[in-house]
Amino acid sequence: MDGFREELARAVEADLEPAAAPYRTETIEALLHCIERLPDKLKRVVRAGLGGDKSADLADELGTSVGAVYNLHYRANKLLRTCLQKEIG
Amino acid sequence: MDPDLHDLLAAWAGGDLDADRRAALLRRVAADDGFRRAFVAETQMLSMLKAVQSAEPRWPLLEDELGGGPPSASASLEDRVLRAIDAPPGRRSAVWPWALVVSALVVAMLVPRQAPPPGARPPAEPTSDAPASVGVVLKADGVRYEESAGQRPTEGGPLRPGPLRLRAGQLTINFVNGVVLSLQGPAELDVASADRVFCRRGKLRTRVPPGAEGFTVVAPGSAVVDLGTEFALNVAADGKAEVMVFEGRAAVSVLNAAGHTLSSEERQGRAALEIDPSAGRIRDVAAEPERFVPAAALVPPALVLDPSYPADVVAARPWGYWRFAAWAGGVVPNEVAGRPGLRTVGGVGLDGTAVFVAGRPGQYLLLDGAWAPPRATGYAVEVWALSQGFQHSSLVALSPADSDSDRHAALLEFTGRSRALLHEECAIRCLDRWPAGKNGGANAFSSAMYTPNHWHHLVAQLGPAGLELYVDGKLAGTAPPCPAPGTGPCRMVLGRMKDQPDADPRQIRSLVGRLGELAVYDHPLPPETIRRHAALRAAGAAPK
Repeated sequence: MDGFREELARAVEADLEPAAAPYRTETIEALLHCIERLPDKLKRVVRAGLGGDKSADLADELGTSVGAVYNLHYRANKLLRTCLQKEIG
Repeated sequence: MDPDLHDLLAAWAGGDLDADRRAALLRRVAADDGFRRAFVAETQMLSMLKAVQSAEPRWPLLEDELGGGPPSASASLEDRVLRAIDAPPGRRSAVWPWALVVSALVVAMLVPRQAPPPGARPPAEPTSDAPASVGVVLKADGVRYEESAGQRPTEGGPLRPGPLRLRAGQLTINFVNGVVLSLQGPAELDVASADRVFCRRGKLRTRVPPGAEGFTVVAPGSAVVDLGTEFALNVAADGKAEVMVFEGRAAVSVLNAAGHTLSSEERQGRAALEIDPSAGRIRDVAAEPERFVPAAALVPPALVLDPSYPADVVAARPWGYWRFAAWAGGVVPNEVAGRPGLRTVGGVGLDGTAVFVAGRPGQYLLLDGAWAPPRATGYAVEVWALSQGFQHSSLVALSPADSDSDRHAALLEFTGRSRALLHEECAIRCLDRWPAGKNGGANAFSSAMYTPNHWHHLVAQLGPAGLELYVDGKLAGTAPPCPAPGTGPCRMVLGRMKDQPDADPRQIRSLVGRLGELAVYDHPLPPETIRRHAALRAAGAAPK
């Protein structure tokens, strides 16, 4: 972890545990259902993110810009969070 | 999407940003709560997705995440995501324990490389604990931690998942599954669970008892799975590793960058191997045990109490008090005149404490008479106890003298790690139950694990407020009173749950360890008396 990541990790430390606290086994179960419901394009973005694909490569593949790929990631995560909230009440 | 968030995530993932831009982002993270939370939410989702996407999460993926390097393109993650998505519910459930571990690790390990702030609380005391503990520290010989270490467990203190960074010394850990691991600094170890650790560099040695086979040590480019008993591993900074199997069996693997096994070897008995991940090679070498971490010498400490201890117990008016200093005709005398002694059965050793050794479940002590604990007004059982490991073991068991000894009226015991029982793991439990039976009653559990190979002062008592469990002088657990009135003359068995045979060892719960200074009272003890008794362990003899 380089200095930037260390400094960033320190800065968000206090927020991490509260953020993690609501996530339980049922949450992860729900997350799978939510992934299933994502539009195909967003599923592709999620897969690419997990696979470590470079954003530039994915942008090429999808015929869009790197910024748009980041926006798709952001949108996918937002949809997943919203879906999770509904699933677990 | 906020462009700053975009850039921050890109930089977090290893993207190029100039120093000024990074500094500006860090300033915003520090100043803007909403921005900071948005970043955490994004990384949190990534962690969860990573946890979910793999039925068999592999350390290199964690390494990728934590180390900032790109995940391996060779892993067919898309397939694995799809597998997770398409898996039927029953299939999915199998991944949860791993998924939770991974998720917890990612969160836990994002943060820890920093020194605690000045004035921060020192690491937990022996009896402090949290549900996340996976073991306790048995010994810390000359241990010095790196300033950046995430946790700095002290002797007798809990160990939690996360990084351990040793600058020097030898740390010996007892995991809840009974695995004993000695780590010698300088070393970098990441604890994933009681079953799995990641050694970035350093020397370690493990002893894996029956039932914990499969304990795995992963290193950069290699892994060793203990299939029973004992091995040591030295991991160099360049990833080269040396393994020595001292006893039992171990499987050694070379892994590729994605964590998949390239080749593996299994060795039984005394053998030494060298692993070179860059060459993808495992080869036998001459065994040089002196190159490895020595086995931890875990000699049970003596129970040394202040000379005033016996008088203080007598002053508290016990119904019975047994000191285990001597015996005559196989009976340990009662220090209270006219009251029955304890009959030794199965060759219990006596050296000032009662010694119960492994492999002899027939050892126990039996009250040579009966005691009727006055449940209406309260009673107390006080004892010093040491367990040599995490094992479900009965210390004191009371059952009506006129019934089978597996119908209990009261129990004091160490619990172990068992998925088959509802009891909390590796805690201390006391039970009050009337009418005596095989289930029901009131249970009080300690909130902290006990520490193997350490003496604990225990008091289990029923008082007006209910059942109370004191550990080392502190109230550690309570339960409402069992409402049924009544009592009766009881037999008392020490070191075993019952004196009758049972083919199922879980129903015998024999102690491997020691008991000392047992006293039972026809009344509950005041908290100040309990605190005083616990504090009478001689200076320097108490757990650190």
